[in-house]
Amino acid sequence: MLIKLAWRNLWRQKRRTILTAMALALALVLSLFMRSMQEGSYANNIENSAKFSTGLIQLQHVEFEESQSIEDLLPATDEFIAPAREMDDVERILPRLESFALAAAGDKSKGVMVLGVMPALEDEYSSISDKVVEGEFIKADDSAVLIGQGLAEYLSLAVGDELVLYGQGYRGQTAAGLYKIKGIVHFPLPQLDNLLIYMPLPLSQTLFSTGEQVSAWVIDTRELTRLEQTLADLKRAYSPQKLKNKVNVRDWEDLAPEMAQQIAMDKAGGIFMMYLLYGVVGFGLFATILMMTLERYREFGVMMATGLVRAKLLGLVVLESSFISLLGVTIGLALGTPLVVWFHYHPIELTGETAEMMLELGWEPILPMLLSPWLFIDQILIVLGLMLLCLLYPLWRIYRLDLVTALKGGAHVN
Amino acid sequence: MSIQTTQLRKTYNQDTDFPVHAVKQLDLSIEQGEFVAVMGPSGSGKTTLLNMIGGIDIPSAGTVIIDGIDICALKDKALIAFRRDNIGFIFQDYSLLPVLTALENVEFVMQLQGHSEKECRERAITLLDQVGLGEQLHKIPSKLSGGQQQRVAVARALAPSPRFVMADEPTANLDAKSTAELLDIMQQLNEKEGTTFIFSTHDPRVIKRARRVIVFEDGQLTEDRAQ
Amino acid sequence: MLIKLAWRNLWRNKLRTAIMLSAMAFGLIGVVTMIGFMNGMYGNMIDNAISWQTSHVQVHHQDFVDNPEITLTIVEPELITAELDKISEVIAWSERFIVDGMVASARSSRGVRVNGVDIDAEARVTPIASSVKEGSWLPAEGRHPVVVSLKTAQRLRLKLGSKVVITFSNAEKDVTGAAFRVSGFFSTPSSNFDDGNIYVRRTDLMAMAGIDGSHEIAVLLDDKNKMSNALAISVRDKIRLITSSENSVRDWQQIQPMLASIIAQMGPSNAILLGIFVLAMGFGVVNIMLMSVFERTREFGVLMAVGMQKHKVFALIIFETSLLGVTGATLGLMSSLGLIELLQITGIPLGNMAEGLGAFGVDTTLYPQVAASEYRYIFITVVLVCVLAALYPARQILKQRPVDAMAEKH
Repeated sequence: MLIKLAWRNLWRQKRRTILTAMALALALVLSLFMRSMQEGSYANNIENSAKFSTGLIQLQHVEFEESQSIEDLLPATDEFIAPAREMDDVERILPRLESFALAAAGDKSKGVMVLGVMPALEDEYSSISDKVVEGEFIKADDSAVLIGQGLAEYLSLAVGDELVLYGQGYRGQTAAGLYKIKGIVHFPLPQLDNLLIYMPLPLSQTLFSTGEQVSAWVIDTRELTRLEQTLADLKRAYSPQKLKNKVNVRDWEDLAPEMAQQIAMDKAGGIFMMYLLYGVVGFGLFATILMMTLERYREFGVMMATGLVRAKLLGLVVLESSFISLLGVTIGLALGTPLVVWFHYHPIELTGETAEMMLELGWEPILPMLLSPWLFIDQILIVLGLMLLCLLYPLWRIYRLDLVTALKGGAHVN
Repeated sequence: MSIQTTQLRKTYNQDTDFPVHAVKQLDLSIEQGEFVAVMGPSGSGKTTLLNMIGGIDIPSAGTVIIDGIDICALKDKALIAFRRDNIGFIFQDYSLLPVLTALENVEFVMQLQGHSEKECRERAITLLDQVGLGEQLHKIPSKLSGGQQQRVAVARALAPSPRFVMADEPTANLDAKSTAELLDIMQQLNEKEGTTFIFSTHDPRVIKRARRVIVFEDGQLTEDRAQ
Repeated sequence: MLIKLAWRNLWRNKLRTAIMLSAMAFGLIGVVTMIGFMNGMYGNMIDNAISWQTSHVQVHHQDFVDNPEITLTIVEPELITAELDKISEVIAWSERFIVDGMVASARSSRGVRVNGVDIDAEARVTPIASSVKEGSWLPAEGRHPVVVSLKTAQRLRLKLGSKVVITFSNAEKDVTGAAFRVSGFFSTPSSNFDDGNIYVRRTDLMAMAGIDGSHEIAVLLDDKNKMSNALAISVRDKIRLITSSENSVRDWQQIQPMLASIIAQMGPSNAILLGIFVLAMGFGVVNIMLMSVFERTREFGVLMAVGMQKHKVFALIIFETSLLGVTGATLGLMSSLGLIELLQITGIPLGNMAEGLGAFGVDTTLYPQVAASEYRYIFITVVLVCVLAALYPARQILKQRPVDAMAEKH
């Protein structure tokens, strides 16, 4: 009965109810869209960064983080990596050797990063062979290398040309070698595209005289959500007490803090906007609920005089507010959900200057949207919280409602 | 000044099964200086009649001619201007603007007419004096009693020097003393200045004071007597 | 008279009006803070880019831009420097000899850009001298000093006085190298810049390279307006006139088009922010005005009966919302102004976002900025939206005839 009353009361002031609900819906749609877009691009960037640069987790020599030196290596033996291989959550493991060298071709030179990898494994992880724009992808036993497109242009190199790599090897030995270019790769991250030489791991181990060692073991987990758990497991498996080499287990946030922080800042900005929006709309909701309460003081007085218990009156107001909020949420979800779903399957592609700017910053110029239940739940919870906040004062007023004054006075809204 | 209604009629819900004939076929004339009470029970149509004479409502048939002007023929803007300049209104409640002081309420209509600030102020003070509220110039309506508010309403109604004053149940919300005071003032103005007053009422005290009583029942004039 | 009435009508329901004004103030403070933050961040990014990377104008051999070969030095740089001397807006310029090479310590090695500079000139064009955190800027005496970033020092395990070997491909296409001693460590707001640059004396580098000359002339101008490259363009054009067509002269927006993009999108993105806020606010205003107007239906009836023309009634309602808008906007903007002024003194400390900001080239203490013109257009927008919001309620009440209005028992 109370529910029927509450619902009908709402429609006495049709315009007001609809306007308030619409404002809520607006805030919800905008926030949902924005957050979905943000989280979508974060996930995208993390994935890209992981696949082409850092991986999700890396095992490194404990000094490597600071030094990035060819001296600080880990064993490349099966024995060493066995504990990681045995974990369920570990999807794949990639050994990598990385160091700097001077690349020279013709009369140009540049400091480049040399990455020694197992081509088949890497390709499986990041489908890097798809990004080969000229020439062919390398194989594990090749003695030729892949070069980033930006770098190839800089050094004016084409497939089949040769380049010299010159640098420092393990235990002070000189690293020097002449290599043929087997293919040119377009890396989606420009920092890599302009800097990277991709070569088979054994070849790089020969160049740097490292023997059976690597700079890092890159680990991919089955799901991003299991990352923390896997990280903890790995830390335990490779803790200092167990081994003589000290191993550092690092996740992508640690490996690429700029990205982690940029994401954090962007997220903070987005959440600020969202609360701002809901805040403004919240004032409107508060005003509506308050007016609805104070205008009907006399009516409430009559209700209580004829026997409606105060608690039920409070319940009535709560119900009415809930209905308005529910209405707003429903409209918002009805409008917002198809929008988010559509753009999830057809992400917006950016063009022109904005696209270039994003490419420079290392982001793909699309706007992916994340489709995830907690995005929606988040919004609903915020509206709920907002509503509860707005109810505090009106409910307090009803609680203190004095029957006689109410019946006499009526709508003294001040 | 004369008011003439000819074959005046007002029907609601004309096209339904239950049309309401609020006013049926009325011919009426009122002259300058009269003090007329239109009486009848609620629902008799007296308010509708007054609304039509005052130009607030449009008749379904017939005409209202005031000093030769057919007010039903006047368009929106012209009608509003006519009302402003020629008819004073007093309502049962809610006559005054609650956010303006007594003085400002009386000045208001004159300002709409475009008189200078000084003129408005002077005349307003004079009028408020006449209704015995010279000391309450700067009070807002909520600080005045019901009787005082209606007296301000009288002053406000008279401010634009209207041809006649219409009052719709002016004493309905007043106690005996205030009613008497209000009627005294209206009677005084009528006798001294010759202001024409037309009220609708079912308050017997008002009816006693009127010099002409028109009885209205079921939309029809049943009696029109002088007293 | 109408305005007096409108103002008093606004305050009939003090609570409701107060809530609306609070909403406006709240929203405006949020919006202005965000705008200030964005402006501050991007402004800082541009400032730093100009200070460190692009300066205002740069001259190169035109082929050097795409193809930084060591032999592509600037044609007749003396003509350019002579001209620069004559231009009053020029604060300083620096001639640089640049090679891409490797720097190696006993521990590790890195690819870097080796900047061979004139000690004093460079210190006038970029803040390098004051950014040396340990040790000192390049000294005039001493053999082969080098200044590296703190980041590089960390990677290569360097201390003051450590020895490093710098190698690159010289003019004869031979890989050449020499030992240098670290004389100082610098730190700039941009982590990428720090990672990729070291400084040596131009003379030392030219000797190693086997050729003389400069690859880059960077010019710093006395330009107060950081959002516009107008001054840079005019200086650029002057230089173009007197120099060979083999040289490329570019202003900072040409050198780093991303900066121009950033400036271009700042305006629209702030406008969108404001737009969203006023939309939400607009709903609230319409709602409140509807309530306010319909409560007074009878009163409006009386007004029209007593002789107030419809257009005046309309004006009254418009005045009421305008006053609401003006009051709310003033309140909100005054508070925001106060907050921003405060933050401009204290700054917003973002120390724990150092790496993220460093990637953008932004300082870790942020000073929000809002221009006077921005306050103005926010004010106007808010008032305008309030006026628009009044249209629907006004139309609704004017549709009624006085008799209907007056018959309404609210």
